[in-house]
Amino acid sequence: MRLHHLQVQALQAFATTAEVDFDALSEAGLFLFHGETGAGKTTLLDAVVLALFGKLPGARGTDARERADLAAVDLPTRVVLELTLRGERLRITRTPRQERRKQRGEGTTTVPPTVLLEAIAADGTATAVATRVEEVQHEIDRLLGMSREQFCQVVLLPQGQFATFLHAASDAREELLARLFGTERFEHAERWLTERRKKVEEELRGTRETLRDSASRLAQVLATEAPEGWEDDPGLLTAWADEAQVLADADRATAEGVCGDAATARAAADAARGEVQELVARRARHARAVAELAAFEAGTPARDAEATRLERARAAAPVAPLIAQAGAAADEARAATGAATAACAAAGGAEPVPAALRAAAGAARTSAGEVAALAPVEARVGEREEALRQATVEAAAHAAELAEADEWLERAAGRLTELEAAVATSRLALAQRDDHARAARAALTRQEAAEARDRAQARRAVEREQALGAKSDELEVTEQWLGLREARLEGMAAELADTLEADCPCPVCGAVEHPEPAAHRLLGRVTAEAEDAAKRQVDEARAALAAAEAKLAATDREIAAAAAVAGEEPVHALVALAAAAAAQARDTEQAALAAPGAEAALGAFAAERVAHEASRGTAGEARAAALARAEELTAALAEEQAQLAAARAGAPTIAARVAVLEERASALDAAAAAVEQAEAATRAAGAAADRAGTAAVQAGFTGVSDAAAAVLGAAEVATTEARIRAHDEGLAERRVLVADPELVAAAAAPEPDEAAAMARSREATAAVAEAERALERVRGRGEQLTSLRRELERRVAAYGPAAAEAATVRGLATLVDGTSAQNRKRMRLRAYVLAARLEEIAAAASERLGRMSDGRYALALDDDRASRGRRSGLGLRVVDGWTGQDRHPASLSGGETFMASLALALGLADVVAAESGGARLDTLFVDEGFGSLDERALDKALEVLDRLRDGGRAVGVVSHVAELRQRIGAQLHVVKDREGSRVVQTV
Amino acid sequence: MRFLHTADWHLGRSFHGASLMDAQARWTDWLLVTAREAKVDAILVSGDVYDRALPPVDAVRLASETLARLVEVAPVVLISGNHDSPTRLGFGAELFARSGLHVTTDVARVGAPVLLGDTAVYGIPYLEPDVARPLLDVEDRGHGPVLDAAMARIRADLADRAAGTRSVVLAHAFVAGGEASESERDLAVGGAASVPASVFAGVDYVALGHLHAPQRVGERGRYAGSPLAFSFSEARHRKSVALVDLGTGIPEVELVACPVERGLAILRGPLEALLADPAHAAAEAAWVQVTLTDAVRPVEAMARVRDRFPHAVVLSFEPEGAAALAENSYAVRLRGLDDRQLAAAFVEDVRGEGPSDAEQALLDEAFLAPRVAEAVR
Repeated sequence: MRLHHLQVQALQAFATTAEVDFDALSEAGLFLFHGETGAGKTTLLDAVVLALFGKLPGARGTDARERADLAAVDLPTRVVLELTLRGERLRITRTPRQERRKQRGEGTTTVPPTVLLEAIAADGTATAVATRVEEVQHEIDRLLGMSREQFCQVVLLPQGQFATFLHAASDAREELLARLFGTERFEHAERWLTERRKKVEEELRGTRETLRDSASRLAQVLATEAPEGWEDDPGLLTAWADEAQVLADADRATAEGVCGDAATARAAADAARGEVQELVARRARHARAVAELAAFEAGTPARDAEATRLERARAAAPVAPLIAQAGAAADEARAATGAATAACAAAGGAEPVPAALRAAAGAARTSAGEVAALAPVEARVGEREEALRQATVEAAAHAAELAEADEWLERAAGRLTELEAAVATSRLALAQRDDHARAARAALTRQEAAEARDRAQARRAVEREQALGAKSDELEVTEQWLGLREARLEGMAAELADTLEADCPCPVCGAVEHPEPAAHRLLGRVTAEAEDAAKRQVDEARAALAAAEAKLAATDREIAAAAAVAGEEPVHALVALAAAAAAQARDTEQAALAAPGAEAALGAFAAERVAHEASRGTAGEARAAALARAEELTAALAEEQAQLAAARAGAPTIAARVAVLEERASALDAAAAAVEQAEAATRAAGAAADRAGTAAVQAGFTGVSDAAAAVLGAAEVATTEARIRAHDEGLAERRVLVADPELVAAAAAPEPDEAAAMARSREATAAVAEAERALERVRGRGEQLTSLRRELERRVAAYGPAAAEAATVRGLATLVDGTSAQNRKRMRLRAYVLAARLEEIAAAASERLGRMSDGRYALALDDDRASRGRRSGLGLRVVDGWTGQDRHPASLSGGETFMASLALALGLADVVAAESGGARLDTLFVDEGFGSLDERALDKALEVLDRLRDGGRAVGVVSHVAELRQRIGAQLHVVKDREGSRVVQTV
Repeated sequence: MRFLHTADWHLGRSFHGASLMDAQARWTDWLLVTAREAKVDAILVSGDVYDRALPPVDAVRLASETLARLVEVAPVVLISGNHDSPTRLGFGAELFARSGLHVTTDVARVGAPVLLGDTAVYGIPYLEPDVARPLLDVEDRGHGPVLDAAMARIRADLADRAAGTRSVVLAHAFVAGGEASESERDLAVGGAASVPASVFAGVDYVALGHLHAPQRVGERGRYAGSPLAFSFSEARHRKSVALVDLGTGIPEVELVACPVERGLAILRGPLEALLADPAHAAAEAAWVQVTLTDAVRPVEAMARVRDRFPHAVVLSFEPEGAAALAENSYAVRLRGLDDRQLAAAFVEDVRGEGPSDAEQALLDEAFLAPRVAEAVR
């Protein structure tokens, strides 16, 4: 088992998420979880157990809450562990039972625990393997091979409980080791033996039962009890059975003798009886014969009478057929007469006179012909009725149409008025449209003019200012210029003086000498240029002034023009006016636009109205036509129907009437024929009767009836002849018998005593029967006895080996499961096999323990019997090298116990790894315990752990001991903050 | 220049439970005397001053006194070893430097030399690979890369100095080919504990610490070795400190043997023989490791051994009849037996006699039947 990565979320001390990279930690081989008390170091290990088994280790599994108290309500408690088990890389995500905020409504709801087991492929993709708690547990169980309790003894040594495995009782240790080393086949063998034992003992009990059954049956047959103590020695039963057999044989011999005697006696009695019976029979026969003879003789007259009868019958034979014929003819005649009567009745009770009947038939046929002629009329009537119905319907329909049209026209009146009004409005609007538009434009113009006027006025103000300014400038500049000119003029003298040159005449006075030319003033000299410049300025100012004034004038003009248009009214009033005019113009425009539409609507409506009126007219006409037609038809119908009714005379149709008449005619014809027939038959019958009478008289009879009486059937003739014969024969026989001498003699002899002879014979038979019954009984018993005895022998023979086998199996089974008294060590087979393992584990542990204790302590297997009958064989004891005494592990000090437990855990992992069927325990966690070691022991323990790094194993240590922080490089610091703990990993 | 090279004091260490404090105190006295007499220019201590990261109070006191006195003789250059806590040992390093005690425990200061005359002395504290990697900007894991990086810095600094500057490097590592004893802590990281000697090339002398046996490493390197024996595997060592004369060529090394207060003796034999044999008289005053070869463990063995050898600290057993005894063990008896043989052995063992034929047949069936049932299923 190798852990790769752990992520805990909202678990106990960790309010948020913390992650542990076990791969990085394991690479270092030895790593340390450290932090303040209560920071959550143990929680991280608990999280591993929680992920694997769904429960926290030890007692905390039932009591502690997993949820972090400081976690946010929306952050679920969750553990995700990625690890490799038996070569398969898995990821387990588990959330314990916890409260979650309800999605709807206030408060929290409890969600049940969930788990997800995924297999991680080499490329990192995850496939879900199982999501139900039981399935996941099953998988983990199979791969890990340990339960939670066992895991916490072997892989994770929990705080304060590291010595569980060291101190465990033999059977608990056995359980753990059995799971780790896969000794199932020994358990199976043990179980098999136990079951076998049960089976064999069951069979043995069965065998004993059958034996008991045999014995009791035998006891019943023999009417004696089975001998005591046969359960232990079945041989007693056989002896008992043999004795009984001998007695039975003797009994049978006696019974056979008795039987023989009785048989002889009976034979004699039977012979005597036979004779007597013979005599009696003969006498009886004779008596009978005499009696019979008398009877026969008495019957002779009867025989003679019969003979006479026979003769007469022979004579009547030829007459018989004629008689028969006469009878038949008479019958025929009767029948025909009957038929004729019936036919007359059927034909309407007419007289049975053929001619009349036929005449009536002819008459009926004639009337039928007349009625048939009216058939077409009938048809026509049908048609006319149909037409009448149709016409009526049509009239109704047209009436409806008419009503509809009337209604519509009523409504139309109002609508028309509306449409006309609309048209008028729109026409008006059309007329006014242009005016209003113009008015609107004018108003707008005025408004704009007013605005322009206002703007111009505003401008004017400014321009006036400007003009004034320009004016003042001009004045100023002019003044300056004038000033300058004056100054220049004042200095003209000097100026002129400048132009003076020596010997050039002065422009003023013409002198050539210039003794004191005027000098310029020092200040305020104004040159011509200056004056010119000033003049220019003046000109400019004047120009500017002119421009400004011109602009002002222009603006004034503008104002005037605008005012002319707009008048003096303020802008806002004009704006309002313009808006109103515009609105009016718009409305008018819209109304005008609607004009064509209104006109069109009116036109359309008018057209519709016309159409409706037209249809109304047509409907009225049609209706009238239909009504007229109906009247016609009704009249015609009345006439014809009266005619038909008369002709039909009660029949539904003409055809029916015709049929009736025809029928009558044919019936009459038939009646006529029948009557004729009857007359003929009667005549024939009379003739036959005459013939028969003649023949009878000829044959000697008085008449037909006499002859008929004398007739005898053939069978009767035969029987009569036979009777006569029998009588004759019998008579002859009896005569013979009566004359027999033997019988005569027997009759003459005295009467024998039959009863006595019978009685004797019966007695003898009874005796024989009884003797035979007795023999049967004896024989029966003998056979029963024999078969029971054989059966008993068989069963006794089978019992022995069965008992022996049962003993063997019982002995072995109890030996193997450790409960037998013969098992000196009270050790079961599985424990025996595991003892070797435990020895190896102890040896591996001792190597490390020796190093930790400077060679003083070692662990060894202790296979002595445990106390109080508990199974044993897997005890551990501590061997103290220095004293040579062995100590019980419980007698070690706290620190020594820790060292021993650690060594044991390491040794166990070593041995398990070497075992081919066992799980690899590559990771080991030790939670605290190092605090109980002194410095030297701590050193040694760390040395031992250090060496593990080479073996590819990883040991995680949780400890607060400061020295470890220095010694162990790979560390996980669990920091306790106010908001919960977090994890800082330094590798 | 003349140096005294020592290392691996391990102050505070105990020898199989017995305190070495007094012996170590006396040794430090001897060291002072030796250093003074040899008139050394500097004293090099190559790591493992203490035995533990949090040393006992006595050890701290002893170290404090010793260093104070050593500094009066000559400047001391000291690095932390794998047993020391670098931060704790480096307390006040800058302050001490002014007094002549140069403590290099900070990885960041690797490459900054202590200049003594024309010699640059560089100290490389013990580099825990995973901790030193980020500080030295090294990608690969292991002792080799981090030492390479440290040496690179040193060579770079040396290159900046005047030509002819001699260089000495103190380091605490396991150089391949060195002889280890039982008392050194394993340095292996990812399986590799050692570095090749070539790592230190380009330096005039490498003063190494960590291995407790005094030994040379090439022509220019040396492990000073521990002052005292810390395990019985060191029984044959001759403990010493090295006086190194650094000239222009190969450094000359003179060994000064450390005084041995209590020797080590390893004894083996039956108890009675050991107690009686006069040949072992010398061991009576020494630390003794006893291996008893009696077939049966003697009672109160340790007590009796200590009667004659009061300083017996390790006692182990290798019974001569070991083969016979082991044969009785389950492991040996049951090794290689298949299931039915195991069952037969079990019956014999717990009952006293082996299974009869009928019983053996039953046992065979007992093992076969479940397998068959499995196969059928």
